[in-house]
Amino acid sequence: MAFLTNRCLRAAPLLVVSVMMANIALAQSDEPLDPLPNNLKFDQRKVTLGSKLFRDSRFAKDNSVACISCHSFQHGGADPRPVTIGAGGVKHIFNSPSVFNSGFNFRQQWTGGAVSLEDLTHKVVKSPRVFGSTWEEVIGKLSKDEPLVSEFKTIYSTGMTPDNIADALAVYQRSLITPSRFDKYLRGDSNAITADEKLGYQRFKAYGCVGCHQGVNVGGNMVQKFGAMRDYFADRVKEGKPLTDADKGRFNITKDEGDLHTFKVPSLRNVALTSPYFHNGAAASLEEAVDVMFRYQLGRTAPAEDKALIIKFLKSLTGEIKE
Amino acid sequence: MKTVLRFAIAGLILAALTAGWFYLYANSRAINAAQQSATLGLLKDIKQLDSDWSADVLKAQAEIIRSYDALIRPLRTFNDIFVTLEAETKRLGDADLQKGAEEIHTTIDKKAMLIDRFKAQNSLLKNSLRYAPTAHKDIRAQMYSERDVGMSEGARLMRDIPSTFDELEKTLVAASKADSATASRQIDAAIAALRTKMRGAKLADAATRGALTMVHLEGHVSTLVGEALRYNSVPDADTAELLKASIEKVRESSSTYPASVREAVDNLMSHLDAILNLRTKQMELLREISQVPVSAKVDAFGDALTARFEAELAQQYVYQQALLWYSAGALFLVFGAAGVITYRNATERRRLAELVDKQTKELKENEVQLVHAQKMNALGEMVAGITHEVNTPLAAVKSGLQSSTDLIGMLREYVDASGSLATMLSTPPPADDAGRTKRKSDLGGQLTRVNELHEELTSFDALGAMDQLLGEGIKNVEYIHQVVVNMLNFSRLDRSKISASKVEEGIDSTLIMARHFLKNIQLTKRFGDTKPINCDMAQINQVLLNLIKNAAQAMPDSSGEIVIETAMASAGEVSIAISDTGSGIPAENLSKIWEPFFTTKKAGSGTGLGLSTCKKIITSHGGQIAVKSEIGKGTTFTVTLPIQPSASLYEEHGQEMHSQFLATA
Repeated sequence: MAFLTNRCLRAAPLLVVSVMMANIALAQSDEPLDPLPNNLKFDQRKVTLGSKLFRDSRFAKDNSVACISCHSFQHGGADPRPVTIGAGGVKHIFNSPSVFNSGFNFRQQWTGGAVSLEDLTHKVVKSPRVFGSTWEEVIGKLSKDEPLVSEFKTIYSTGMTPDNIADALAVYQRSLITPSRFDKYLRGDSNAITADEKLGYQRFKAYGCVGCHQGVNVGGNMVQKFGAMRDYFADRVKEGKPLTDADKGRFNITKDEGDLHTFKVPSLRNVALTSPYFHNGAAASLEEAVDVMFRYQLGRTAPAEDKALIIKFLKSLTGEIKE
Repeated sequence: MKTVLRFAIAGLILAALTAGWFYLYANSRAINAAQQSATLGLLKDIKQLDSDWSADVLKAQAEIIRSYDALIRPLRTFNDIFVTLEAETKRLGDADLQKGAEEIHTTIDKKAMLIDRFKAQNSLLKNSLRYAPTAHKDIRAQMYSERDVGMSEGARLMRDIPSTFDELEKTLVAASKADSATASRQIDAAIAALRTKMRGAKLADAATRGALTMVHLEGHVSTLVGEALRYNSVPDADTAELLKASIEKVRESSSTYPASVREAVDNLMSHLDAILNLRTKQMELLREISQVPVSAKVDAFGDALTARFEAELAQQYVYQQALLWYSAGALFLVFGAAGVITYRNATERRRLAELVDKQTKELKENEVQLVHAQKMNALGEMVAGITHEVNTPLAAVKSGLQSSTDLIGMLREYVDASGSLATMLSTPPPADDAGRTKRKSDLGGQLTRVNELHEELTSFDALGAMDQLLGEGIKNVEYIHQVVVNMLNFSRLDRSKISASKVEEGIDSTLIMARHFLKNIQLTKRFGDTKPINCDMAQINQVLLNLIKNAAQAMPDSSGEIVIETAMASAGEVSIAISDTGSGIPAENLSKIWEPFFTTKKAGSGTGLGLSTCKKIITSHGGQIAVKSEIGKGTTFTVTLPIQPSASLYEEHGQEMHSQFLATA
């Protein structure tokens, strides 16, 4: 055990060096967006195991839903319903964010409440709006599955434990990356996207969308107040839609007034597939979502043709999931 | 039971000693210096990461880096480090260190939170800064389109008014025909429509005029934007106040503008407001970020860790010392115990040696006594033999001498008578006849007496008998002499103890000694051509006598046969085999016969020492004695003796080996 720890410790300075080098590489890039790395390596045994667990409904108290129930691969790794439905038919207060490329998000969930994918698993198992179960119950059910138990034993010396389940799931989720035409463009293939899409990318940068949706995941690396330039939620109330707990955003986690209505900026990869949009699934279409963003986040107007170009660009972010 | 208890107690003491030693040993090397330095390395990593992080915040603010990925990358590394650090402090079980690690964690979390705010605000600020210089374009576009719309709308409405009146007229005509209620409703509706149109036309006209006045405002807005941008580069409170007032004024005046223009103006004002607010907040945020005491917390933790390490080192030193003393003590105990055991062993050994010596001495004494007894026994046998051998001739001598004494008496009478006759003859004859006659008759009488005596003596040849008697006597005395010589031969009392002798001579002298108990036993001797052997013949004879006696006793009806054979068993060994045709020795007794006091004879008829003494004598000569027996058929004892015995035999006899023996050996 001590040996392992020692190795981890020795590896840490290396990690620091690599992070620093990555910073230098980033600093030299002119584009605010970065292509998905194409040299990621994963422990395939964990990926296979995580894939099974991702589809395993025994996590739910009543065995009714699995991870994939609300992170559908046909819908860009997200849920086509405005809010997700958990175990026992309980309605969630959030629209489920995409699982694709979630390994690049700095935190998970709309509120950033989970600091890592591992943490996320621990949270959703217990969450009454998701699986509504306990680890004792989940392990109790899974440990009756002999092949699964032995699969854990071959990969993890400690066998099937909550941490190891979370690890396998996290590795699997990190492996779910969706390289797109736009990544090819960023890598220098200028013909990978159409002229309109290039124009759309220009508008995307020019109007300031890129202020928040930047980095390798076109978002997912910061939080921002929904209604930065105009009070989105006041307008919702005016429209007769009362505030929900979900609308408080990160405040739910930090209880800090400064975080009221603050949400993790979602990644825009595969955004064309992940409707409906926003934390509450309030925007049914991409057009609607872009309009809301212009009005409440950018605080400015734009000609319809510019918005159309931006949407064309956004569609070029749709990638392919390799399974 | 007592032994078990002693072992258990010894085991317990040993276990306790060992446990104590291991406790000290474990504690004297509990500290893992590598672990310690690895943890310190982690702290250095945290500080390095943190300072890079702060630098990246400034780079993002200066737009040197274009995405916030750089600002989130340390988070995962931090998390990994915290997992290790918290595991390490948990392992150390030090509450203060755990608290210290938690404090670092919370401090980093706080910094992460501040950086999250920074990212949110920085992106908005940058967007506003980018938008503000171009915003007037939006306003102008709205104004122109509003003006155009207003003008065309006004004109359209003006154009529409006559037709509206026509419709009103038609309505009035229609109303006069209809019932009053419906008519009045229709009239009201028509009038309302007309009013709406008139109002629209008026509004359009106002908008047109408003838009025209806005053109003048455009210049004012540009100045405002310029001020805001200047504030961004050089933020100072006075400018902020002035700007805020100006923005408010524009906002108030904008209420008179057409909606779309107002929106554009309001948007810009919001952005300018944002620049003011965000720029101020950003400065605060950046200051706060730079003031997050990550370094201080890390240093405090590092100091605590080092202090703990040093304390542990001191503690470990104490344990090491204790271990040293403990080990020394244990060694002392072990050596002490070893010494005690050695001493006790030595004492015990000495005691045992003394005991053995004493017992050996006693045994030897016993043995001497035994041998002596055996010797006395043999002597008894010998005396019996001698008595028998000597008595008979002695009796003959005695009776011969008795007869001789009788004959001597008769001879003495004859000699006396002859003497008296001679005396008478030599006396001169007396003068007187009487005397002469008397002399004559005396002489005649004496002569007759001598004649009578002579006749008596010659009648049985007294002198011949005398000769015969004396001859017989001498012969018997000779025989007795022979017996005595043989006895000497047998016992060798007349020679040095070890000498070269032929075993056959020993056998012969022994047989003479044994003659009295061999009466009817048939004896067969088969002597081979053997060389003389160097031995104590007296002892060998004792052995032979013993064996022959046993053989004779094995045949109680005294009708068996004893065969004595000699031969060269090898070039240097002579063997003597004494066989009988007796009852044989049962197999179960064969191994016991050499033991002292083992006997199957009737009580009183044997000491049981014979064969054990035989074996001892033969062994001391360097020879062997073996037995072969068959029940009902007989027993054969075979003695094998070396021609040259070992030097120890000489030593035993206090005699040195003669050089000649060595030469022949």
